[in-house]
Amino acid sequence: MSDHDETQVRKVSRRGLLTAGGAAFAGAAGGIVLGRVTAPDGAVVAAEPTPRPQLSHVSPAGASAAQTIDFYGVHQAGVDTPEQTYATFLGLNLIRPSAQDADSVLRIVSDDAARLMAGRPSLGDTEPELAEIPARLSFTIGLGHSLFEKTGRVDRIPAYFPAIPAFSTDDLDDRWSSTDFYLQIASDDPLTLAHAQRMVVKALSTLTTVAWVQPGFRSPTPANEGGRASRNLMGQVDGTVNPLPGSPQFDTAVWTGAEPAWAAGGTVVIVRRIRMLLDEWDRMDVAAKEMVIGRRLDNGAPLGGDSEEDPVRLDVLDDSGLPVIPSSAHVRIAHAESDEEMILRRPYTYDAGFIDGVQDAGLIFAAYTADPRRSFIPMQQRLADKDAFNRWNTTIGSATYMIPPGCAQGDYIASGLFT
Amino acid sequence: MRIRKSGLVVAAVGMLAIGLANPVQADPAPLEGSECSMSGATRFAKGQTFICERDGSQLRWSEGLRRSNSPLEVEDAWVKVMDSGMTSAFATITNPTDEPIRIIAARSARFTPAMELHEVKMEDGAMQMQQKPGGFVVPAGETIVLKPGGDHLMMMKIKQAITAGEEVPIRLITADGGRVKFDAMGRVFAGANESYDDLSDGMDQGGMDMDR
Repeated sequence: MSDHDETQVRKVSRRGLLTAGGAAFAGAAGGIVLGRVTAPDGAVVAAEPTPRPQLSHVSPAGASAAQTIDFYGVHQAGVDTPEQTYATFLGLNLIRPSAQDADSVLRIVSDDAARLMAGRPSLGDTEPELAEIPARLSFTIGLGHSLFEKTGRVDRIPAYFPAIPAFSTDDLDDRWSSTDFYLQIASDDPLTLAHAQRMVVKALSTLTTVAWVQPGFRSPTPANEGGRASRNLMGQVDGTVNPLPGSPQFDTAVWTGAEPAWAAGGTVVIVRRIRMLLDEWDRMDVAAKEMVIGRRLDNGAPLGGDSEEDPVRLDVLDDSGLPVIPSSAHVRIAHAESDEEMILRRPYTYDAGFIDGVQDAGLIFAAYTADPRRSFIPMQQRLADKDAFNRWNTTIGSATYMIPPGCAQGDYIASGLFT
Repeated sequence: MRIRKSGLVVAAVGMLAIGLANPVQADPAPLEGSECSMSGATRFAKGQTFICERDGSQLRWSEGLRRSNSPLEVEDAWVKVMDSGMTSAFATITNPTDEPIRIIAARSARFTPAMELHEVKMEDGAMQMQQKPGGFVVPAGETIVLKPGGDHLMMMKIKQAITAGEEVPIRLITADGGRVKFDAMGRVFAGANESYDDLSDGMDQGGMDMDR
């Protein structure tokens, strides 16, 4: 190997470390071949002096490996947090219907979340090294109706946290239904996420059982670009009309109001498991798919528009006098008329293998809203009534939780509610 | 009342009856040198702290240490959940001063009658837990970590179950009588099961099963 080559390799190695972030990558440095580096996720990172690769090809965990999200704050993390690449949703049930146990669960999860999100091991962490790359790890803790019932606190349930009805197009399996507790754990690093999940489930093992786990993923979004709509397995760009975190619109649409005080600054999440009938969807050509969705598949632009960010114009007619966006198109039916009607879509794709030769894949559709009575429920009712998408999507699971507000350092989520 | 109650914990049953009958009676004559029943037991009396220590084949109360607030800083404290018997507590302890500080005892009166300061040593090819001679020294400006498989606090014959998420108040007592109080969170932990050497001092039966 010539001197030049060695220099090249060192450059590559250094670049690799910068890209993939620290120790996680050190082992992969041996994978350098002909000036190319294979990142831990299998993505190929070009060596210098080739031009910087497209952002979308950079390992997001590499870009955000050291990035942390604050656990403490007015609101819980994982809602206005730009979507991490991986998220796991868990439903947990108390072993005993005990308010004291409920309080202990909240103490433990809060303590674990605060440490792990900061890139530090949990108390008694058996694999502390796996906590070293937080990669924007977040925990979001939710409380189900059954928890309030079991602990004699039905009177504390906010009016804006109603039970969500089943819709006519649903084919719900109880195995995905509401539980006492909800956890959304998300990170750009799937190993970090798996470790965090294992630590907290283990820490709760004398208090709760796991009713369900729904692992999900989405396209990597470079952390420095913030949140961005992601495609799902139908090719659809989903989440374009989300309210912008930090905007007044977001505050109105997502965060709950002043009453009751214990829940102010929280939100309500609806987690629907939507199975996609992909083999049926394959039978459609692109134009037909776009008519169903109401957006172009290539760039996400609403029909009649040019780019993804263009407003959805429902009143535009084509030459023959028909609406450019058909009357049953998904974007038309789901369209919110006001900030109050908006929801925050934070969907993840799931791929759970095959059932009798048919792929079991789809969307874990997590919708966050300040009041589902004015947003999610009427929207979902409209979708159930008219959405052309229903032929290719079946909701097989639905769960709803109150997400309490965040907490200050030294405190824990929903402290005082069960004491 | 706190002094009285904590005193009762380590007292014999007969003394307990006397104590109840005379709740305002001052503490009995100086403890120092008198016999005690559980190694690692502590007693607060007249502004002083007494520690039950081995003296040859006997257990005797130490000299009284004048109580003060210790500058030690404690964080990341937790205790392994346990229904009964003994269990271990762990923490990260920092000495911000420029003098070493020696921890010689620990106390959690609500949960245990006695705590010992343990180390884990390799002996005859097996890991053994035993009392650490001289306690834990925190060097000046440094931090020590009590952890499974290493130095730890042993809670003997716990009086009530320690459950997950529970806040267990613990005090460390230093050689000069300094005290620092902290809460340790009850945590499910599968480890910390190492075998024990003979801990028969004041330990009559039970409490040795670390397998649950």
